[in-house]
Amino acid sequence: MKKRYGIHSLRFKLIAIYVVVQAMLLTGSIANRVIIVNDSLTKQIEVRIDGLKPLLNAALAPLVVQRDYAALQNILNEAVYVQGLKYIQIIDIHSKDMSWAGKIPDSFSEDQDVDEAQQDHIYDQEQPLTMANQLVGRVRFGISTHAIEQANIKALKQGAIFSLMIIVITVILLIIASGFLTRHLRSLAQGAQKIAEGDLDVIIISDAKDEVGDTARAFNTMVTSLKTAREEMRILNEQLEQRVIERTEQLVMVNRELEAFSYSVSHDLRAPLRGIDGFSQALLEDYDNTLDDSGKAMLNRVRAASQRMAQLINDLLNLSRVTRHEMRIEPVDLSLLAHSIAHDLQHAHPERQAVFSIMEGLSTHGDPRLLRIALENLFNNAWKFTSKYTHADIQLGMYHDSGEAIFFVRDNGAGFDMTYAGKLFSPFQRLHTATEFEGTGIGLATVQRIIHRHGGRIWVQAAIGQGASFYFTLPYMQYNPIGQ
Amino acid sequence: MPLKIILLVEDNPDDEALTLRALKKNNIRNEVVVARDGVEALDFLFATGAYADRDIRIMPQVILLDLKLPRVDGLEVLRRLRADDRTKCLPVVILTSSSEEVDIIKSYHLGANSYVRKPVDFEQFMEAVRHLGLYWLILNENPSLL
Repeated sequence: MKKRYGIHSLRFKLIAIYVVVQAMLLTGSIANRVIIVNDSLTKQIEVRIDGLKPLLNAALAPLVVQRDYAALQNILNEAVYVQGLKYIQIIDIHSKDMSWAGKIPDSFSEDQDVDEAQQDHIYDQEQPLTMANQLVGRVRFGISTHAIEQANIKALKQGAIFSLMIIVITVILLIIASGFLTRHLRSLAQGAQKIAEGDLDVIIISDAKDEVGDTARAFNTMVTSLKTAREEMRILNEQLEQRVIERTEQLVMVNRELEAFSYSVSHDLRAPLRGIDGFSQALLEDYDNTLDDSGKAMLNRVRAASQRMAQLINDLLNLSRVTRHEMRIEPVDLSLLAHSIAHDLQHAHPERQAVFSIMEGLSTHGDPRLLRIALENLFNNAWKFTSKYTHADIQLGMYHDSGEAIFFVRDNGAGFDMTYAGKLFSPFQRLHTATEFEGTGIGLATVQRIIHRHGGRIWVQAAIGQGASFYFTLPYMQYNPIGQ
Repeated sequence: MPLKIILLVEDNPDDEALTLRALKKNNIRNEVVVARDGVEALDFLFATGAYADRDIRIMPQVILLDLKLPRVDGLEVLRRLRADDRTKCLPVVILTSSSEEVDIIKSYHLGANSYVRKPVDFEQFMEAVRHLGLYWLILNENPSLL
């Protein structure tokens, strides 16, 4: 669509400026010409009058002295007719009118036209008539300035017509020239508009050898490099997308393999263990008489080993389940969870004396199932490592540090040497021998994974014989209550 | 009146032996029919194939069904049981090694009556079998099958 700029177009502005400037210049020059014409004509008249004076004196003075009225009248008539004088009048030394011709101003002549008198400006002159240096009379005459005015008007008219013609011609030329200029500018503007709309297949054809042509060529170069850049970007993007697709496929495949693997572990690794344990038990039962105590002890060790293996498999599966588990974020009351876990622990070991100090109202957002597993592991740990103490004290609390909520589970149990704290959260890492405290070394790895999945951190403070404190944050969930 | 039949669908001979031992140790003297894969189990239930001569009116009191089975797996067996009027109401207890959540959910969706994980510890396994026998063979009432 062709855009119309109207009076805002560059073309219109150029022409308007030109017309104003030209009109000013021409007006000046016309005025100047009129002044020059006027001056030169006035001078001509004056020169003519100066040339006329001695002639008039020579011709008229003797006749005035002789009082030859008829001859005077003849000359005057002739003068009015020939010299283009408006009037001529002879006055004697007594200021008496001797003779005249033409229309005398201030006369009472009836046929004097008022309009004509106004239009017809007269250049009045009075001149003494002398003979032998003696004043004999005076001659008055008036020369019409009509010619000057006519010449002025003519000069003005000619100037105006000439100016108008110049203006019209140059406006036409300007329209053509600016049309050429603005056509290129317009195609540049249209090209830029197309690019703005995302169409890069724009080429501006311009064979102009001027700045506009340069601009068009620069524009084309820009479009070409833009196109190249966009094409490169597109290719890069495609490659990236392809890579993402490939990686995602790989990930999906690995994930599926992992699923299949843990499914298979879950099913197939347990069955042989059940066989080992079951048949060992069968041996113990059916061959009770033939087996000596050492043989029975060995079989019991086989059974214990298979059961430990089963426990390992269970813990490993739980760890992988924690990773694969799809998070569902809900409000979670950690205090309530802790109470329930504490109740279960106390119920399972009623003989133990333990105090649970659980801070009330510890609510956060997270996956309730995962958070339960994490708290269970931490409480089980605390429970386990306080088992050799008569009074177990297990706490769940929270404090704020730099505006961040930090939860902790603290016990007064065996504790450990902080030198090895770094290993604590890796699977299968244990800081106690199996005879001291049983365990697979997967519990804390599971806890760490759960905290990490909630965007939090976990760390520990402990000392041998002085218990351990596990600190963790769940920041991500506090800021994104419904996010994942 | 003949004793109520138990159908044990189990492909692992060790598990089969241990299950039979656990039943025996718990004084459960019912006849146990063992099917070693899903096809055999379906043949028995619908009196086809090797069991073509069987009296189809005699249905097991309970089916102990493993999930990982050769040929036709446990879930498929369950699906076909529930799709057939003759076996629609039979009590099916999934007795398997895993307690993968997907398995549990699928089993119940397909109409399993119970889901029991076989413990590795034989004593716990014995206990589980004892509970199963007590519940499904004595306490539980099945609709009479015609």
